[in-house]
Order: sequence, then structure tokens, then C-alpha cells
Amino acid sequence: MTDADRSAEPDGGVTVSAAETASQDGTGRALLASRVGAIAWREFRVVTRTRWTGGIAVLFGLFSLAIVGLAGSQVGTTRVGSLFVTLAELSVYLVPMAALAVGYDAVVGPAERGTLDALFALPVPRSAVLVGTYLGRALALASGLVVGLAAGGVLFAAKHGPGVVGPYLQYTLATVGVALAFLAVSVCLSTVVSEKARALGGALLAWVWFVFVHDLFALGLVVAVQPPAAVSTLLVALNPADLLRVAVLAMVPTGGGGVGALIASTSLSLAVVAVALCAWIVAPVGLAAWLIGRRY
Amino acid sequence: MLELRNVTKRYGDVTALDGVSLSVEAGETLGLVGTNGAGKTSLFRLLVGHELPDSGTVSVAGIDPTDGTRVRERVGYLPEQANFEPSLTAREVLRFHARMRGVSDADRPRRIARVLETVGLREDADRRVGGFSNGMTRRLGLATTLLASPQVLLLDEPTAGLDPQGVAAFNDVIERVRAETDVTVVVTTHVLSEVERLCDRVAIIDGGEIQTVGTLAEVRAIAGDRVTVTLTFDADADAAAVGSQFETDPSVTTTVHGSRVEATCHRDAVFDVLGRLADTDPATVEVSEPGLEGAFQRVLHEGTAEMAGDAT
Repeated sequence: MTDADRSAEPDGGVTVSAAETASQDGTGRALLASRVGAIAWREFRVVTRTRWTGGIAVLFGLFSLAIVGLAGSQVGTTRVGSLFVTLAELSVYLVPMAALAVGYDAVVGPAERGTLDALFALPVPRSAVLVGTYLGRALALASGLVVGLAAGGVLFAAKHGPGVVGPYLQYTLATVGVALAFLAVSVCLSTVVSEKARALGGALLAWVWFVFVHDLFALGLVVAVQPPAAVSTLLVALNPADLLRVAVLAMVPTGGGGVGALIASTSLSLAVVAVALCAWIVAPVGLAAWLIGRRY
Repeated sequence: MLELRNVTKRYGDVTALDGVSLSVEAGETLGLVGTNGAGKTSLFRLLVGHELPDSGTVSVAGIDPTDGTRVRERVGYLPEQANFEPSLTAREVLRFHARMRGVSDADRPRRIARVLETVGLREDADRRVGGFSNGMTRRLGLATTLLASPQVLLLDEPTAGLDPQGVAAFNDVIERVRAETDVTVVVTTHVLSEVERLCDRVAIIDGGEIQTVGTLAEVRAIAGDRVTVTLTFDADADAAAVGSQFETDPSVTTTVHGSRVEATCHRDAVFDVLGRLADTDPATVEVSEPGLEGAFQRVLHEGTAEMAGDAT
């Protein structure tokens, strides 16, 4: 260790530089991962203290309890299946909205408040600040969703037996995956724009596109052109909300028309859904991490 | 400790820094003074590796700032707009910054306690930052930079927007840090009295160029040796009478504004001027030297070339 790495303190202590700490810990990569973790934990605390997590837990708790509790008492495969479809159909509206709301000010909000400047002054790349911010918000969002949906899950299992636990967990997992994909989209939007109001507008437009317009566009294309199955599959994979429908339909095959028929016509397996959701997370976060170094 | 050689930085058609060369020795405090848009923040962004120079070289504590994030391990940088999440307490903010700066788990509480003491926020450590005044937030910002005992402190307009009490409290902390450590400090400010109080040397930057740099005495000398005597009277007529008293004296320049009169003369003549005013009955009398303010104004208005001879 050189003199430059150590510096005497007024109280007689010795400062060990972070570079030295890195070598003691093993590698610089481990140090970077630790710092990303610290940013994520800080972000999680900030988001949970603004009551987003609690609000989402309450919203999805009431939502799942209402559907499971009020959806009749008939027991059987059909009833359980229709419950899952109902949960999924409503989740398609609520989950993107919740995720976009949690993420739209992830970057532009701190930039406006001046807290981003304080983070950029730290010895960590700006891309790592972005990734840590995403991870912290993802943890807060997922926690709220899981806690909320768990309430409905408990009632579901009480009414229909332990056999529904597995599919309900799969539904919950798919819901969280879709939420994280929409969160990634909103964090990317938050990096692109320069004002919080624009980020909110962008998030609303994204919600309208993915929840309403994309499916109309896809259906119109299918009816007009009758493209090959691969194109239909791609159209579904290009909308994270539809991936949630695919995950639920895989549990409870149902008939029907419209988007359900389009989804049923695709060959998307759960593994492909998982890969597509991962891509929906990695691509926007990667783009945002690249952009943040250039914008700020 | 800190060196820029012929550094140029452009943003599109705008040249933010134009051939800047500057060096700061270890333990020195340099005040960087300039108008808005003069290039101060651009210079800081180069020093901490947030920007790459278009040409020239930058070195901080022997490190090229563009080489990853290494320079920020050794530099405490307080950006002008730095703020903290209002929902976190001061202690939580410091705990996070300490972890990010590689302070070990075992050492963290002691370090945090020490910097809280240094910046005078010990009593407020567990209060949420959202309830802090601007001055307290700035001192918290300074505390975050001190956690890992940096070799260099870069403070970008740290007292901007603070009330006089906040400015005084912040500058007290800087003086304490300077007295207790051998940290090198570069501070940008518009408040020249701060430079007088805190800095060993001062650099004046304008239009992306360092117009002049030197010790406080050297830069003050740029302003020349003219002294201004300002008197205010109860009646405008009294001020006008004083103005006319000096009308025929070419060594004294007088300006009358209503009941106020300013007489500017050579430093050596100031007692003579005051003596000639002994029979008047002004409400207030003020004698002021141009100091850094005068030097700053002269540098901005006349440029360095004309002053080169005067400054030495």
C-alpha cells in the first residue's frame, strides 16, 4: 500500500482507501456489486417510505380478495380456471399501471430534486446508479405485489383447497415478472425525458399502448394479413401484458375469441414467456444505463 | 495535487473551457471565481471524471479522472445542486455514503459521529433531511464528502442560496476542516468575501479561460490602489456642495447621487481627502478599498492582457 492510499486523520486513525478495500474484499467487481446493492437498498427504503409499497399491497390485497371472495362458491376446475382468468384480465390493467407509477420518476425525479447529483459524486459509474435504482424499485414493487396477492392466495386456498396453491404461485410469479418488465420500461422513460411531468405523460401513453392499443393493432394485423404463426407469436411477445395472459392460459386452457384466441394460437411456452419477460427487463434497463451516462 | 494542462472542453458550438492550465498544491485552498457560465462547473466535472476533455490533460492526486471512478475514491465532490432524499435521516444518508466510499462496517459509526460533530449536525442526526434548512442540507453534503478523509475537496458554490447565518456556519466548518486536515480544497463562489476568508489563492475564470490566478494579495493588486470615500448627508444640497468642493481637483473623482457622494482617490491621498471633509457633517462615512471585488470587475471588463503589467 502506498502513502497515497493511506491518509492520517486528526484523531490518529488511518484512512484505508476504497481501492484497498476492494483488493481486500477480492475484486473490484465485488465492490461494484456491493455498491449497487447499497444503492438498491437505499432506493427500496425511499420508495417504501413514500408508501408506494404499502399502497400497492393494499390495492392488490383488496383486488385479489374481492375476486376470490366474491366470485361464487361453486367448486371445480372450471370455476378455479375462470377465477385465474379473471385475476389475469384485471391484472393486465392494474399491474402495468402500478409498475409505471412506481418507476416513472426513478431518474428524472431525483434529477429535479438534486439527489442524483449527490449520487453521481460517489465513486460508482452512473450506469451502476441506474441499475441500483431499478433493483431497489423492483424490490419495493415486488414486495407490495407479493404481500397483496398473498392475501387473496390464502383465501383462495381456504376456499378451493391446497391444489390451487401451485397455480396461484405461478400467477403471482408471472404478475411480478410483468410488473418488473413495465417498471423497466418506465425507468427507461424516466431516463429519456428531462421533466417529471413528461415522464408521467410518457408512462400514461405506454399504459394506453400496452393495455389497449397494442392488442387492437395486433388483432387488426392478424385479421387483415393473416400472418404466419411466428409473427403472431412475436406480436404477443412484444407486449408484456399479453405475456401474463399467456402464463395464465398455460395453467387453465380456455377458449374464446379476440386476444385470447390470438394468444392461444401462439406457440409460447412458459420458458419462452420467462425469456421474453427477462428481455423486457434487460433491454430497457440496459438502454437506460447507457443513456444515463450521456444525459447527465 | 491537482493539475490541468491546456484543457479545452466544448459542448457543440460552445467552448466551455479554452486552453485552461491550472495547478493546486497539496493542502492549498483555491477559490475559483467567475460569472455564471464562466466554466467553473465544467472544470469540476472534468476533475471528477464526469466529462472527458477534448484536448489537454487533467490529473487529480496523480490519477487521470477519466480512468473509471478511481479519482472519486480520493475526491470529496459537493455539486452545486446536491440534495438528499427527504425521507431519509441524516445518519442514514451518511451511512449510505460511508458504505459507498468503502468505509468498513466496523469503522462506520465512528466516522459518522465524527463528521456529524465536524459539521455541527450531531443533534439532528436522526431527523429526516426533508425538515432541514438549506444551510443544514449543505453542511450534510459537506459531511458526506468528508467521510472517507478525501485528499481533495471540490465544492461547487457550496453557499449559494444560503442566508448569512447559513453561509457563516458553512464557512466555519470549512475553516475547521482546513485547520484539522491537510486536505486540498477548490471552492467556486460568487461571494468574494468568502474567498478572502477561506482561500490561499484565487483564480478568476471568464469565457472558459483562466484570466488570472495568484495569491489574494497579488489578485487584489490588479484592482489598483484607488480608494473610495462614500458620504451620505441628510440633504441633497450638502452632498452637492461636497461634490463641487473637489471639482477642480484632478486627483479626486467625485460622483453625486442625491444625498450620497463618492470620492475616489489614490490610497496615499485618502487622509488628505478626509481632512478636507472635516467641516462637513455627514450622516455616514465609509472608506472602501476595491479589493477582490475591484480586481474581479477589472478582470471581467478589461481582460488580462491590459492588466498583465499591473498585477505583478
